[in-house]
Amino acid sequence: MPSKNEDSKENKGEDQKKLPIERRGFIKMMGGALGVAATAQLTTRVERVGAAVTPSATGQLPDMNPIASASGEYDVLVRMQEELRLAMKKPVEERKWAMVINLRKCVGCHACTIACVSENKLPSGVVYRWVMDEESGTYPNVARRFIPRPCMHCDNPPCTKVCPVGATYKQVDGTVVIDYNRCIGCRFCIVSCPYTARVMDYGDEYYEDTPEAEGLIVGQEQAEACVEAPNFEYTTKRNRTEKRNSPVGNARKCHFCLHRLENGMLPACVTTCIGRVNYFGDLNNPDSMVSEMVAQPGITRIKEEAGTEPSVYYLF
Amino acid sequence: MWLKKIIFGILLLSLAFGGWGVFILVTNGQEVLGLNSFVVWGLWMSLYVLFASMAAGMFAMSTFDLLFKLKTFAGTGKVFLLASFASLCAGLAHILVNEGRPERVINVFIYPNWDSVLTWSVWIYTAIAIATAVLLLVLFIPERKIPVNKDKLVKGLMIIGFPIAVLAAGAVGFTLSTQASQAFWNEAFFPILFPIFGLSAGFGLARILVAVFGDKKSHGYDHATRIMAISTIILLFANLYIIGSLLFVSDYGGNPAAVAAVEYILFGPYWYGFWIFQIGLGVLIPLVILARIVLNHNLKHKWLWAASAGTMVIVGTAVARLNFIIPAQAVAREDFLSSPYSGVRFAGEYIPTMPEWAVSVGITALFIVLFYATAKKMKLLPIVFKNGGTK
Repeated sequence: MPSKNEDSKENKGEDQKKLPIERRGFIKMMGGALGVAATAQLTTRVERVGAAVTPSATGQLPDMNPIASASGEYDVLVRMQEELRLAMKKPVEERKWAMVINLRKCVGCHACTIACVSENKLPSGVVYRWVMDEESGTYPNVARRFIPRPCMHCDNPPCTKVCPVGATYKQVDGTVVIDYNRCIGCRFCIVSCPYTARVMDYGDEYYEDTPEAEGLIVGQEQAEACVEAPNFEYTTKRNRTEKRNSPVGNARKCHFCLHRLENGMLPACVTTCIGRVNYFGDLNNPDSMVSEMVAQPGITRIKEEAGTEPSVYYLF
Repeated sequence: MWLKKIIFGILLLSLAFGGWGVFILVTNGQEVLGLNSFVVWGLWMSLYVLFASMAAGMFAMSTFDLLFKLKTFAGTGKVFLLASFASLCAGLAHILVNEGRPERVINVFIYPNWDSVLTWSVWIYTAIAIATAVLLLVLFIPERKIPVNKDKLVKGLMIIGFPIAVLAAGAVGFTLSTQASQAFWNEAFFPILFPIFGLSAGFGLARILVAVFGDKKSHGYDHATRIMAISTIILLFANLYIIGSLLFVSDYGGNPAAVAAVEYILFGPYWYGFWIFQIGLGVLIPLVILARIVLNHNLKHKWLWAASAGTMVIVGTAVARLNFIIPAQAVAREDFLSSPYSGVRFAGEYIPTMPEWAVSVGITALFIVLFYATAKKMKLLPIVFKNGGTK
């Protein structure tokens, strides 16, 4: 006589055989449908990705423009890069660098600030490009506005006039630069700038008060080594050592990443911006992106009443 | 005698303190300063302005004897000129340590930018320093060793030096007032204000010198101290009027930066600097003391009263410099303060650090000691008031 358990198992098997075909069939059907749908989605995604990397029928690699969209529009950086290279082929006196900042798109991420700090190896206490963060209105009608503030590279700069030794001057390409080897650190230019664009390098370091951590990549020794590695502002290799060579004791400011321009690269803030807020180029080229932007209504410059004629424009 | 020992003790300690400050500055660089990216001119710039304009004031006072031959000031020309030179050197020492790269200051002479008011200031102060040094040399050299008439030579040098001294006193005012980016400074008033403040500081220093080193038995002492007291009173009233006008006009004009600077001075975190030190100690109390000296004959011979009044005038003038220079910078950076970028060098406040105070104390003590040693060596002390010309 079978046991009660054995009997139960047999009964279960027969019961299962007797389950309405609708439920099992439904599950299978649904599973199949879902599977088809998933496969279809996957195929589509693969097709979309594959559009960038699928080899062409001819066997040659496609035009590798990784930021080209499916509609064929190019990222603005590509266009600005090409315009930059065109401008660099001209004599320097025929270039006129300018920047346009589209405030409608700035989200205040401060990536431009950090990119600048990283690119120019700025020490503690020195910042070239900071971002104003303004709140306005009263609840519930509140808003925030972000305004990046690099050096304005004015056409009528108050800073160049006051420098007692002519260490800061306007180049023919429109950039206002500082000769670190001539600057005496009087800070008169810092006081005269209406845009808070200039700072003083007092010789502070980020690694001060960093604890020692021998054998690790963190710790003061490694931090010092990182700081002492050279920067390449104005295409000059400068090491920051204990001797406190220039630019320690000098005024410092944004220079439109001249060292990058010389190598056919856009300024770090322009390249880094996640919102493509910054436009940079040659204002002497009427076909350039910046020339087009400057001609738009809604374009303005900060503190124009000061008569400084900035080369940085804002689209409000 | 005991007072002399105490003063020498203080001077010695001050020199040691200054030596420590210089050591810290040389070994650590300017990162030891309390300055930041907004307030880039602080204690040292203010004291440079004080000493430089006081030097111009003392130079002007020395012309009363050496150029204009005023009988009241006969016998004071050389010592006032020496004090002017010492004060100017103290001022130039302050501006030298203030530079980020002091070893390159020579660039102002090699690569001068004549569009810069600061270039003109440096050249004018250098000219004044050279003129004063040459004058002192001529005055100290015995007449027989000079091929030309000494009096005429001195007079000629003073005629050249006097307008330069006046220009020098206003130079710092031009340096500040030409800055359109600083609404509080951008006033035509500053080039006028600084010479007047310089003259009052000069008179304050002269009061101290006369009170401490003056020969009270010399003929003309009483009259000279009375005239100096009255002149100082007039200058203090002029200072009050100028300060009041400057603050009123800046506030009334409504420019936000200028209004913010005025409010910072009057009601900001360092309000006591203006009300207690600049006005109370620097103007009101000296006015009372000097008025009592003028009205009470007996007080003229009590050197402590006059020396105190003179010291307070100088302290008040120094605080006035701090109030002209620092608040305008502290409030002009409101834009940046909306940025979340933070750090010690991006704070709006400025407090001089101990090394800054130490260097200033040391420089001041050094030039006091040098002045005293030179004056004693050249027999300029005690100051004897004479009628009818120089020694």
